[in-house]
Amino acid sequence: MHSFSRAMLAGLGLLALALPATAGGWQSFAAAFPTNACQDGWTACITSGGAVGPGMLHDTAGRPLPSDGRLGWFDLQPTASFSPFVGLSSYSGAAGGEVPRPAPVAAVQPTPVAASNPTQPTQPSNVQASNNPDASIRTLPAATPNVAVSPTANPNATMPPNGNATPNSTLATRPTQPSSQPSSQPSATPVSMQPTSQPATQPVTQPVANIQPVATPVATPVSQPAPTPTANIATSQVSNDCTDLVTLEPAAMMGSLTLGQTKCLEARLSSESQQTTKAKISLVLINNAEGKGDKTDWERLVKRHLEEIDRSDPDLCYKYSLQLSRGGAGRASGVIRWADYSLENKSKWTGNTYKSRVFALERLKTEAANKLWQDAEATYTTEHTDENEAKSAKYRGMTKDYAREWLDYAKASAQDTKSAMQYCVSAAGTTAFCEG
Amino acid sequence: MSMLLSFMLQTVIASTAPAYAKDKAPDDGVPVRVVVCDDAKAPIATAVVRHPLEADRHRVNAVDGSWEASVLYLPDGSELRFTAGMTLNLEISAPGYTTQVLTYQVRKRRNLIDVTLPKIEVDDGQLEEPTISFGRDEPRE
Repeated sequence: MHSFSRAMLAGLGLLALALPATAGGWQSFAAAFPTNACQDGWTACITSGGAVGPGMLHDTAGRPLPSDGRLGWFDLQPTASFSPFVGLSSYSGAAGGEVPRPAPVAAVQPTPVAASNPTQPTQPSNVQASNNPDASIRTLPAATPNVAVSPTANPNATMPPNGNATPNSTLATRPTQPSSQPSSQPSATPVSMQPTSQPATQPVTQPVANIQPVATPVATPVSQPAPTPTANIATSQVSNDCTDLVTLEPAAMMGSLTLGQTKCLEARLSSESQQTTKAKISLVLINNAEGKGDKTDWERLVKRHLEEIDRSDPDLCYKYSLQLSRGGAGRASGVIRWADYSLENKSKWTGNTYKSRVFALERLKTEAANKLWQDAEATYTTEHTDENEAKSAKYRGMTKDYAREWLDYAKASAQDTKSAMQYCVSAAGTTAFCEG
Repeated sequence: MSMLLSFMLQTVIASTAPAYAKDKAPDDGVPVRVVVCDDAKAPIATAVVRHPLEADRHRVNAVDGSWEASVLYLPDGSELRFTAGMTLNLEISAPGYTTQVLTYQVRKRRNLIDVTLPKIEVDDGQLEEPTISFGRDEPRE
């Protein structure tokens, strides 16, 4: 019984001694892995002496040092993070949910680092930092100590707000080649950072070569899209190809389609079976005629479009009606016709466009009817026939009705009623009809 | 000779008597003459004159733009004779011109009214021309 109690006491005693020892062992390493290793507050940074991260540093003899250490414990030599900064480095990325803006591109200077620098071997040296401290500092994911920073090669070098690296960011994982990180791993070639240039320059120059592939894909997409449309336009102009209508649109807007392209489009139009494709081709030709300022051709093309292809576009009907209204009484019937077609699809307009277009179409109809009435009256005064009188009465009635519609819409939409009232009274002969 | 003189005297009396009698007819109204011109004082051949109570429109003379009447026939079958001192309302209109409403007090004679119709003002610069877009497929929602 006594032996059992002795054994229990001995076990408890050993346990009591072991617990503080275990806890003290783990806590003692906390200072070696600071949350923010850099003295400007960042988790990682690049100094003139190399990259600094949350991982362990090593002095010239390969002995481990805390990552925030400024001087070596044994040799008192300055480490890579020995006061290289004046103040806190700025973060140029987006904050919150903003879209990150591209940072300015800084040239990567492949300046070789002297191998005799005692602080160099202690840092991961796969990347050569630039001389500008502000431009060279980039953040790293806090949980990945084995990350090297590509300083300024990528303009999209931004850190997302959540701290995760994007594919285009400059945060590049440390190369796995053993040659690129000879001294960052404690198990790698120990202590002997030899002052000879041969082994020291290799780790430094290789990271410079690793930066170049990062910068290359950034420059490529920026420079490629710009010349592409120009090249396509030029090609289509030269080749008189009309297959891609979208490619022809810029030239059509300028009225610079070649004769060959126009003929090609006309041929396609005549052979095309789909009405929607016909409409697209016809609109390219119409825009080309308008760009050239050829009103005669424009009228011909629009008339064909409206008569044979599609008359559901109220804008086109309205524009054609407006163009016809600039003519005499012989085109007035066309003005009324296409204004009516346009009004059939007036629901496609909204807001002020609806108000102004409907008002203009009512006006066009009234003025056109008035032209017809004037012409019929003039004919009747020179030739008194029943037919001419009936025609005059018909057009007068049209003018009266259209003017009344115009007047009503102008009143309802709070627009100018002066001209509408004048036409209405002129055709009705009395103000009672129009004011009622 | 005396026979010749008496014949001439009878002829003169016979020719003047009906005219005198016509002027004195109690049923005739006082003639009113309206001349319609434009701003350039040119007669408007297509102008019409209408009384507010009347159904018909009276066309002016296409040559000189004038219209003359002394009586109007209303839709109810009555006659409106122009008499001196009465106030006459007339609407004068023409296609393309602003209608004028005329109020005139009829006099015993020389009722000549000049009416000028201004053209309807049309502002050509207000209508906007839409831009015709190219045909593009719109994806259905």
